[in-house]
Amino acid sequence: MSDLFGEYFKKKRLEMRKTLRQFCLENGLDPGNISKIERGILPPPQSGEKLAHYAKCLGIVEGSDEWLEFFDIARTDAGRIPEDLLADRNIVAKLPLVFRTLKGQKLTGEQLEKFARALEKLNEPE
Amino acid sequence: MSQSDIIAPILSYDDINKRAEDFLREHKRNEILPVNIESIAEFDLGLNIFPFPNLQETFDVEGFISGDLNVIYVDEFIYYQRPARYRFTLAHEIGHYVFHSDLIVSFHPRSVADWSKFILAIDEETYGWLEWQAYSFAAAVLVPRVSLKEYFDNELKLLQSKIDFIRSKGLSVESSRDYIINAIATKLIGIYDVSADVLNKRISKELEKGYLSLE
Repeated sequence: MSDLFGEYFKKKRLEMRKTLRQFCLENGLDPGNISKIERGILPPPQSGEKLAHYAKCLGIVEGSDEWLEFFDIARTDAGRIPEDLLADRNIVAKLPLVFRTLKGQKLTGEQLEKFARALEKLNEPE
Repeated sequence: MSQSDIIAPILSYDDINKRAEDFLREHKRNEILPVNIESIAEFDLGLNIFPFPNLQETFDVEGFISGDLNVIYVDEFIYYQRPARYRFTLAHEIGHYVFHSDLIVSFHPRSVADWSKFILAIDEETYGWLEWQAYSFAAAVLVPRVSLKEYFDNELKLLQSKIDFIRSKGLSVESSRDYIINAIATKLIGIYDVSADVLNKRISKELEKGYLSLE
């Protein structure tokens, strides 16, 4: 899976010492989408405006070398991600062994099937 | 790996507490309360956290760690609206990460059907052990033993007049145990940022094990 842009994004956020929740709350972003970008599930946005917004949220100064690097990585990754995503569609590796349930009970067979499909959907690009 | 290969590690309550204390020390989080478990998850362990819409409503699941140990999924409502439960869920899943990583990574289902069959075949006792270990770790990490003793003893002193009154009626302190535990737990919620239920259970267990005393 190619997650160069995602890795870079996450690295910058962590350097700011912001948790995903905090970062998204402060910048009005959706943590689900940002998490998908960071994990390479969603490609970098095509829109220059959106990229610029993300760069600013990450504290990257407009016009700096880092700014250019951020855009370069986004362009490079945008072209590479679709084929790599195919590998990521294998949801089986993500299926959990244990769940924290309210009543401490296991799910039924029907619930497990439904759960796996919900997790698969959650790991697909929108 | 077959279902019969799933064996919960043997860990006592004290083993879990020791590991929790070491864990906080390793991550330099043993002095500031409430413990910033979200930062440990993201900054120290490199885990991703993902809000899962309707996870609890649909599946009665509050959270889980993915089979590749890369993502902790948390029910979206808890993620946004229930900070104390959110923190506990993270700590619980980190408990699985700490104690059950080997077990989780050795589990290689080939398909969803294979996974489902495997999960259904795990016996309740083993499953219960895994969950109890993660729960106990979460409680020990978020409500560290040393600080709890200090806060508990202070709060107990503040309840002294009530305890004296109980004794004056010829009753033992033990007879009002639940009242005292609950009163103290309620006072400590803000310090640890966990629910009253977690504190009640933690205090009860520490009393049972002799690390705290009502006397």
